[in-house]
Amino acid sequence: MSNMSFENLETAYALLANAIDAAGEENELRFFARLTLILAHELGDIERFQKAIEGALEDIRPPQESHNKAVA
Amino acid sequence: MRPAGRGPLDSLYFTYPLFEADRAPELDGSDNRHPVVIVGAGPIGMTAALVLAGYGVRSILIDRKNTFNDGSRATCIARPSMHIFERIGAVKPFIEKALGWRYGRSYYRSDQIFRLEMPHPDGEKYLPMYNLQQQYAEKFLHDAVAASPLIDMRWQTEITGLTSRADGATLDLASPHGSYPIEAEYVLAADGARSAVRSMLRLRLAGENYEGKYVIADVRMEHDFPTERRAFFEPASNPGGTVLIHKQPENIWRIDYQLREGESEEEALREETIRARVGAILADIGHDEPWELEWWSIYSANTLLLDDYRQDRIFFIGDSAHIVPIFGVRGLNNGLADAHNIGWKLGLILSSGADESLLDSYSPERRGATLDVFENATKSTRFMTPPTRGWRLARDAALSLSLRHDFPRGLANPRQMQPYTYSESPLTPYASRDEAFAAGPTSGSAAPNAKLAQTSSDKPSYLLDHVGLGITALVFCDGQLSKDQHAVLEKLSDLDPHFKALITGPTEVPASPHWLHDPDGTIARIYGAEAGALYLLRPDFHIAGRWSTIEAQEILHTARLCLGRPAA
Repeated sequence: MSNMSFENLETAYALLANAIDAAGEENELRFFARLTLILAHELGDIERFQKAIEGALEDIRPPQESHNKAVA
Repeated sequence: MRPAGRGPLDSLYFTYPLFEADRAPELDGSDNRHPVVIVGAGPIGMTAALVLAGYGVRSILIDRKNTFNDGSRATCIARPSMHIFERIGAVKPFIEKALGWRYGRSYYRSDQIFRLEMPHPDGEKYLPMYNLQQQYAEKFLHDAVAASPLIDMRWQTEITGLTSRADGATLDLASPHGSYPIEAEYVLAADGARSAVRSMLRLRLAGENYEGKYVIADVRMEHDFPTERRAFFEPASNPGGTVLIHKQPENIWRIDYQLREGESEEEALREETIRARVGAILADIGHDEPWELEWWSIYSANTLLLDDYRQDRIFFIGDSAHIVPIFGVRGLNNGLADAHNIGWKLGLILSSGADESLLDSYSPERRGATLDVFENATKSTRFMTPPTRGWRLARDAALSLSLRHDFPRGLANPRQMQPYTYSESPLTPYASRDEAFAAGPTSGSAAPNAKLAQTSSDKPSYLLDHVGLGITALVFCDGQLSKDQHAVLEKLSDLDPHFKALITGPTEVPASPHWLHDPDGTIARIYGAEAGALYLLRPDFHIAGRWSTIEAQEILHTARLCLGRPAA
């Protein structure tokens, strides 16, 4: 749990949205991976980082089979 | 638009009156000089005329149409607007007809992620929001306009030419009986988003257009759900788009849905498309009974405004001055506040000889309010209709995290209308006096209401019922006015023929005409005031200033500014 104010959360939301646009679609994944490692380092707490990873994975559906077939 | 086979005014439930154009007396040589001409008899123009009439000021109100606007349009009326309707003597039919509400729900896919609860303090007289189709609002205001001997309503009358001068304007008017020029000391342009007055003065709205377009549709159906705002993000019925649903009187439901990317406006507006899309949305919310299509239109989110709401003696009010996104329900409500603001100022000038400098505060105050609306509306528009890939990814992340986490849920808050605080207005010169208060409304903000202690079996009454047409002083004391309080009230009374002193406290003050008994200290608590404090209220219920102890010179100076009576 953090005690970030709602105003700061809103600011973080806007910073993130604008940064994704600044990175551009082809660099999006690289941007997210770099951002995540920086945040993990800043957080300095492996248990909380692991919890965050799990939280971000929740409700994300596994890749669809049709996609794999198309690749094959 | 309406379904095939029905005319533009063939509503399932509302009979549109058709107004005749009376022959204007100016065509037969009557004096064509008038104090105020208001262009546009929508809700904003009619409200401005009624505010002026409250000061005994005559106006001519023209509209090119012969009836009200069609469709539900601006359906949400916020609490401060109800106070304005009360002030102009028109609130009763609104209360009887409109559906009040204070809750909402936001859904992501099929799960509820946000519960909207608008504050409703115990002392408030009106609910935070009411739903009412716009044509009813226009009808109720028009009933009051028609009953006023001071308002000369001229339907089917169009402005065809305009000359603006420092001391007034000449308007060329065209009516079915002929054309005639008219001289106005003041003009209020309430002629909407495509304002003819604005184009004749070659003024342009500046700002941003957003990409997302929404269809708005009214349907009639028996559907059992309370009056709440429902917002659906990524519903099965409209993947990639957002849907809003509002209940309105007469079993009419208002559905707003976002067009999909690449969906053309022309295709979206076809009746078959509307029926298919609305049908899918209704099936998604579990309505499998029959429904009838009443009316539809299209809308895109903009934040546009004029650099100055004034040119010479022409003032822009409502959509002619600013266009705001619908998601915060501020189009109509912001416009009504414009009408009230210019109305009381012009009313004081034309009825009690206030100095014209009072009007200098109109544009800064109301432009400030619109810019504040933009800030909130931009946030809600970005959430409802993300403008870029980055905003969409961030929005979708916030929505999907909201399924299990509380922290991002506030991002889905529609940020409904809050009245603006005129803290930097020229009429609020002593905002620094706020520092002496630990609580209560700040200088420039809208005065909170309070329920008054009941004296007998009276109907409940409220503090704001007692606010006057000029300056109102709210004075806190305990049993006796101090010498300083007494002296400043005398001076305010000499200054302002409309002056009202509301004296409040736990112990009665003898021989006080406007004594508001506050046995439990409720008013004192809401206003964060101790005995000795004084608030000055403007006719539009905003706080002009507050003092924890009497500063006679500052109080009188503030009152003089608000009344347009600069010291000799």
